[in-house]
Amino acid sequence: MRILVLNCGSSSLSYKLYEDREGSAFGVLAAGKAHRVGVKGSEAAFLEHRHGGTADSPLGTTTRQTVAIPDHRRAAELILAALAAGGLAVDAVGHRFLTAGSYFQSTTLLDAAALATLELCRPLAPIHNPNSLNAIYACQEALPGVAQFVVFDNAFHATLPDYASAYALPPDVIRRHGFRKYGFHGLSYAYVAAQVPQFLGRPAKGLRMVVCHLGTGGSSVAAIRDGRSLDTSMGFTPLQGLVMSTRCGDLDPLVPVYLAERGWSAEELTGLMNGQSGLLGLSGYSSDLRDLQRRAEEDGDERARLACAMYAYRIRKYIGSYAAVLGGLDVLAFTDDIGVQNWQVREQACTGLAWCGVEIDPAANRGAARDRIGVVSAEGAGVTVLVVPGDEELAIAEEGRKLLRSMPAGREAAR
Amino acid sequence: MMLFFEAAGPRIGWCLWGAGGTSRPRGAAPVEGALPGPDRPGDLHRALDEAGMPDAAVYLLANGGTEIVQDLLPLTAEALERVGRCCATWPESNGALADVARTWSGRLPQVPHYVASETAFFAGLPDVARLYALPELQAARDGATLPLPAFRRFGAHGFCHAWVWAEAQARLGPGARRLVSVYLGDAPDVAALRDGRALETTAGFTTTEGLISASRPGELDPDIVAILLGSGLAPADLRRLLCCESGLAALIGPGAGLKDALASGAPGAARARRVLLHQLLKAIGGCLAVLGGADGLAFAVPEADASVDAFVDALCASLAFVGVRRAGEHEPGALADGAIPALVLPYVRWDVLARRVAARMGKE
Repeated sequence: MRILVLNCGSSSLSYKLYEDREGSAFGVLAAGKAHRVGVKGSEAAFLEHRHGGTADSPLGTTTRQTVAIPDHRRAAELILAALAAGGLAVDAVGHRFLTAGSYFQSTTLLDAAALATLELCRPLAPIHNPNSLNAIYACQEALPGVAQFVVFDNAFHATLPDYASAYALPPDVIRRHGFRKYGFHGLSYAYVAAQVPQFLGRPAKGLRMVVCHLGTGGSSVAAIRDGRSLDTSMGFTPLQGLVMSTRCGDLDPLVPVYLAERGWSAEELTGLMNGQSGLLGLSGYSSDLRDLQRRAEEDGDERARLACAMYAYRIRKYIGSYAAVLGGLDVLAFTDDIGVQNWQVREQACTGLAWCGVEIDPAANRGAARDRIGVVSAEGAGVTVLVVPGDEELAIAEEGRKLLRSMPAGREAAR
Repeated sequence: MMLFFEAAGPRIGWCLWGAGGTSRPRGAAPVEGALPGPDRPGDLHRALDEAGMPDAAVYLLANGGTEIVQDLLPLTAEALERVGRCCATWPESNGALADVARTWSGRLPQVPHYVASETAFFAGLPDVARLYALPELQAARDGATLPLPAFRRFGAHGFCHAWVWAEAQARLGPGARRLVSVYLGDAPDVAALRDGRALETTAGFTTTEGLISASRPGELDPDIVAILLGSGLAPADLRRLLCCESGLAALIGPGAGLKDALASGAPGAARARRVLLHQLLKAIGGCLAVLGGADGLAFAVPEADASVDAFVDALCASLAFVGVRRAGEHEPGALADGAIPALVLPYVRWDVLARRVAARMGKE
């Protein structure tokens, strides 16, 4: 059975096509990513597609197609077309879905009723859920009859203690709307939380970790002890926490109230805080951190400098906060695109953290590998700082395999 | 003797501090009351008849925003206009203080009048802490009559944090350049101080941002506000929800304060205590990150008792990994073992304010 995994970020769509061979590990037949989906910036969107290798090394060639990608539906269509052009059939499609609130917590096979319920979840993650729904509809159209399942990204944070997950609002408001901190990027945290102990040759038990998932669109931080999430920076929606590409992150809750009193509607506020803020709002012209780092360095652009500084500053504060929550730190890990590729952000975020044992080796940090786990902390530092390339897609494929094997109807549909 | 006015919920409270002579011991009970209305004196006339003329009248703005960036400002016509704009922008914080100042500066023309701003201490916050990651917003929408305020982070309890800095310097010496200052009252907040200046604080545009307080929620996803607005809640209801009905009031019950959270027994108190401890730990850790470590940690405690003591001990125990250790009452200066001393400072707010005003008047 071949499982295609579509992983919608806020401004990207990653995919992998897995071959599920009974009784063995997944093989990857194709992989790639649509970059800068719907992004305003100086660089064009493009699709990266790798496939067509040999049996030993199936991901042979990489093609790069520069093409307009205004939304995730178009991104999914391009990916499905690239797979079809390579003669790669698909038996099932798995999607990462950010949150379905209290509607769904576990991996779900999509039928008409489930899809209708997911439609209700758009406002719970106003950037991501519509993206994932767009990808689902693109697959429905291009691959009629092929099973689709969704994996929910906040399952990992189900272990949050009450004092970290509860919002101190009146009980009737909480009951009516189900407000609580859900947290996000759970698949990524679960992957890192499993990889790090293996890499260090230490048991997960007793390990105190802060993990920074820094994506090109959304970013968050989690405090993890014994492999379980103790706190995380995103909230009921993926808006809370860090400064992101177009999201403001932490904000005085009275600010949107003031704007509402001055004529802003709920939709406009959602759009403002989620789509026009963050790096884009601070700089006024780009939501792309690399763009802004260049402009700050080369042109001395003050707004770009401020945007980059605030981005790293907020991460540093969260690392300090979570080190305090954990009562000390053993591991600090950076993952996802910016976390793995951007040494400047790691260097700035780790500045001034020697008090909790974080010290970076500048050379190791600059030279960190992008395709495998690497240590970037200084020798003798109390905290091991790691760069951990993520693999959310594998986690989604594994969830899908479990689900499809447990459901005869699903398996039939998948075949 | 000083006469203070400040917003207290929907009313304006007043306090005569030092009535009965300047030799009154620190912490002596002030003569306090509330005005029945901005231009109605109620009991204050009688109290003044008994106590005599104050040395100064002070209008204490909880939020001076971008309007008032000096901690003490003589009340001129221009200052009064600024106070008016602060009251219009932050009704929960400042109430009808402008009307009161107008009335009482007329009634007591023979004494100097000052505006005091609790946010002035934070006027120099670095940009990374002062700004939100929002775009520059254009002026209000069509049909909206209210002006758009500057959405900046203004902090709170500036007089307290400035006093904490001075006290810590006196106790720890000039080597203590980095200090985490914790105000442990009904609306707690934490500030990161370096060389006497604030680098970061938990309170933001208003005190709704930051730590859980008596009636405000503390940590909250801002999208929740948009969701509630979309569900039909009016902006005025949202304001009441976030300023008056959340926080300890929501977890324990209406009217609950810090004391209820810290003294076990009250229903919901244990949970509220865990939330507060967790949020305080995060705030202190964040300040340590901003300061690059600390030379001291200080708690300003308005009402010290055994439950506050136990709570501070629990916090210090959680921070033992950085070397935080509670300094004994009579343990002067930096701790011998190189640990980060945690000081508990009994904070008598009116006394601190009165001394600040007196110092200012001595200068003039």
